[in-house]
Amino acid sequence: MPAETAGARVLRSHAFGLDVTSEIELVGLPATETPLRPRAATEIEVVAPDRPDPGRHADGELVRIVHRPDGEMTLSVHFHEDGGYLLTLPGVGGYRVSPDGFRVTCFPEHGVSEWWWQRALVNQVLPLAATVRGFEMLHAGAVAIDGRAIALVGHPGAGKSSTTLNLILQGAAFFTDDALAIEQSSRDILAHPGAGVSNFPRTERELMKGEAGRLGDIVGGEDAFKALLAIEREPAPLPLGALYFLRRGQPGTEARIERVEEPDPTLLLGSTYVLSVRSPDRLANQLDLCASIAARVPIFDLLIPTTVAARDSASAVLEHASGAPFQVPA
Amino acid sequence: MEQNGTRDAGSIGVGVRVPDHVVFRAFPGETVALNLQTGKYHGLNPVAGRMVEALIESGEVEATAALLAEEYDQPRETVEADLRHLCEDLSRRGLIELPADRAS
Repeated sequence: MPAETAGARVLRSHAFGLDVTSEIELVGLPATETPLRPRAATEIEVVAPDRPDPGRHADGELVRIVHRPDGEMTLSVHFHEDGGYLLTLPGVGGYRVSPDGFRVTCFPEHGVSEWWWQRALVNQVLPLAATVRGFEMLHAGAVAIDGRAIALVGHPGAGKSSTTLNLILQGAAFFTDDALAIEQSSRDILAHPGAGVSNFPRTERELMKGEAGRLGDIVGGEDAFKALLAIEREPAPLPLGALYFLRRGQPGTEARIERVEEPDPTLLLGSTYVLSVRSPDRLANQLDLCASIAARVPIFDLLIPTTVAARDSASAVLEHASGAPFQVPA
Repeated sequence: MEQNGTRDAGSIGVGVRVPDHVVFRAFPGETVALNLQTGKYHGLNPVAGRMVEALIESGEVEATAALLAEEYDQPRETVEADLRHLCEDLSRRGLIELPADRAS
């Protein structure tokens, strides 16, 4: 629902627990009428194609750098106490997140398509802003089943996106693709929906054939491995119902789902998503939430041989999650 | 008070406390201590985790040892020796403060 402020059209939406405002429509962030919470929104500003002035970040600390196997840098994150976080994705653009997480400024590179730089915004930048604002992020896809968020955690390539998308084809509601925002309320561990977009592995799209169209529309172009799918998401936060750790087994191993009674803390801490925010407040919040999840949320080990299709692993999760116990009350 | 790098166990006494920059959180099979200044995590097994929990509550080694000796049905002297050893180890890692740490 567009709102008017001082002559400028402002679109309001939400993702990862944040209310967000923007003067342009953003992929995966449909306009909403009702803010999630009375707190101030995070404002997203897009600057005409330009490189961000490094400003204070020239003196900032490099807190994260990611390289491709061929050595090419794909992401760097600098932090400066006064300037906040500066994310740089060569070939895509730069993004500045203010130290309090209330302002995100995007600097798309000249000539880069909208869907490409907006994909980085929803995949990388907003999760970081949400972490700065006090939410914790799990590296997880999630769907909504019976009024609960069911999270699928796993290493890249374990099949989170494929299983999530197949769960939707089988009746679950989309919740988030790769980053799940959680927070502790007085009663529940709450999960917040992400952006209404999902990475769509090319191999999975080929397997789904005609059914893929039921999921949503492909946005913009695609790279060699994935497209970006616009997909209707669950609109509201839900209690975190269960966590499934996806592991791929060798062909011939038996598929199984087993309850993890005493989850290894490092398994949960290692499943968090934003590595660049290392403030004492964040580290304490991260440990708190992982301890609460371990104590209150049913956790399962889901071993799926590589020969089992995502459609079948989704069926197993759907059947299991529908009968899984609820979160233990605080 | 220090001999060969270890503190005389008799000096631990009362007033054990957790520094503001350290948090302990219990997981079902392990307690994790996090030093917020260094970002380092330390794992404690369930017995050590219970020792720390009881120690934080009472702040006194002797009283904690008496409580745990009853809980675990072990001789008090044995539990107290283990507790003092744990205190020295945690103190060396900066995860708790002993009265002697604050005096120095």
